Amino acid sequence: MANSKLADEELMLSYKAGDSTAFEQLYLRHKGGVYRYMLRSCNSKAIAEELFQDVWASVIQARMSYQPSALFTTWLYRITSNQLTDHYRKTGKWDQYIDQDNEETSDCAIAMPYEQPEHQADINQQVKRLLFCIEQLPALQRQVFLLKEEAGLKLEEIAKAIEGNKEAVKSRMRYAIAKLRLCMEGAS
Amino acid sequence: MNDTHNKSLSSIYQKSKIEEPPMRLDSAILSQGRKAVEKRKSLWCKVHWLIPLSSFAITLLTATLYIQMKQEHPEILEPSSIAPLTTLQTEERLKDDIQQHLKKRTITSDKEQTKTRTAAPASAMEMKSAPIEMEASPAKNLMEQPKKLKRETIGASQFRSRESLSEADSVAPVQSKVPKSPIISDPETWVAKIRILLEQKRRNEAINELEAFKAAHPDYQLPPDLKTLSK
Repeated sequence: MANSKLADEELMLSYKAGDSTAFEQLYLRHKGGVYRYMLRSCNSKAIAEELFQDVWASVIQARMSYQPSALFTTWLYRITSNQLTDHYRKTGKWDQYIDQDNEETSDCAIAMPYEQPEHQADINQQVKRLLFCIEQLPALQRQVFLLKEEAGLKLEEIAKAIEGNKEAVKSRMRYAIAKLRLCMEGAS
Repeated sequence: MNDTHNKSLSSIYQKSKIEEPPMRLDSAILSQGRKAVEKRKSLWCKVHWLIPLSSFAITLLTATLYIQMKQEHPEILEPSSIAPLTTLQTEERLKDDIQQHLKKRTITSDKEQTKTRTAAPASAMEMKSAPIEMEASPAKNLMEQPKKLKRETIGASQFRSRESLSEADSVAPVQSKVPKSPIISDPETWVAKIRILLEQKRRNEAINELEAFKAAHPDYQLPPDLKTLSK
């Protein structure tokens, strides 16, 4: 493909101009990240799939208003975060979602109903363990961690994506990492 | 220490990136993306086709209307009536008209003068016979037509008073009871004409015109420079 090396922003502008292959490129680049972000943020695979589809439908719908003033990834994950927030609000779980963030010092390793891996050297076990620990994180801390790992966003970009301030994001990230470390160490 | 932990967490997390959306979602989203673009393209094609068509229709309609108007009311589409005139152009045109009119008038008055000179005895007879008739007629028809006589007498006296205003009128026949200059329907044009006469140092003519103007338009508010104009 001629446009395989193009930046996301250029691809999005091409798609805006009517090039459907540009959209295919963008989708192939970002589908995994968005899907996993949804999957790890929701407990249900069905809901994650539904929200994932809604995210891309929003991208298609909002393509004409797209302006390459920021990173495409920031724009995409802002849509993703908004979809997630809307889902929690619609299902009446928004308060629960926010309240989780107050447990800043909770030790997820203590209440963990996780089967201890028999061989710590086993990578799969480590991965499973980490995913479990991520699942135990408060929602907003999990959000910033996933945005960093899946979207590759920096703190400032995460703040833009979730429409928050940088300091709050930094704080959430610090807590998230501390908890994950504790959780991983607790398992070992 | 923290960085090492972060890196190790990140490296472990990178290995977890195995989940992908199902194929059915891929195809559904990609086809949705393609359809959105095609829909817009087809819509644009329709609009693209409609714009020149509507422009052509408008042009055709305008041309038809123009031709029809030209056939039915050609005077409306004359350039002189269509093109807006500036005040300067209007003044120049007015001056030209008045000057042409005045030239014609002088030519005709010259001709009349020559005619009256050649036919002087006849007109003199008419001039003399008219009062005689007027004087004789009351004696003849005093009882029959007193009102008619009165009108004629008043008409004659009016004629005499106008006669004294200009020289041209003194040689004019009795029938020409109209003022020397024809009545200009537009008062502004008439006022302009009076001004032009004043500019040409033809004060007496201007005064006569003014008198005629006052008679024709008694309610017209005269400009201050003409109000003071009098004999």
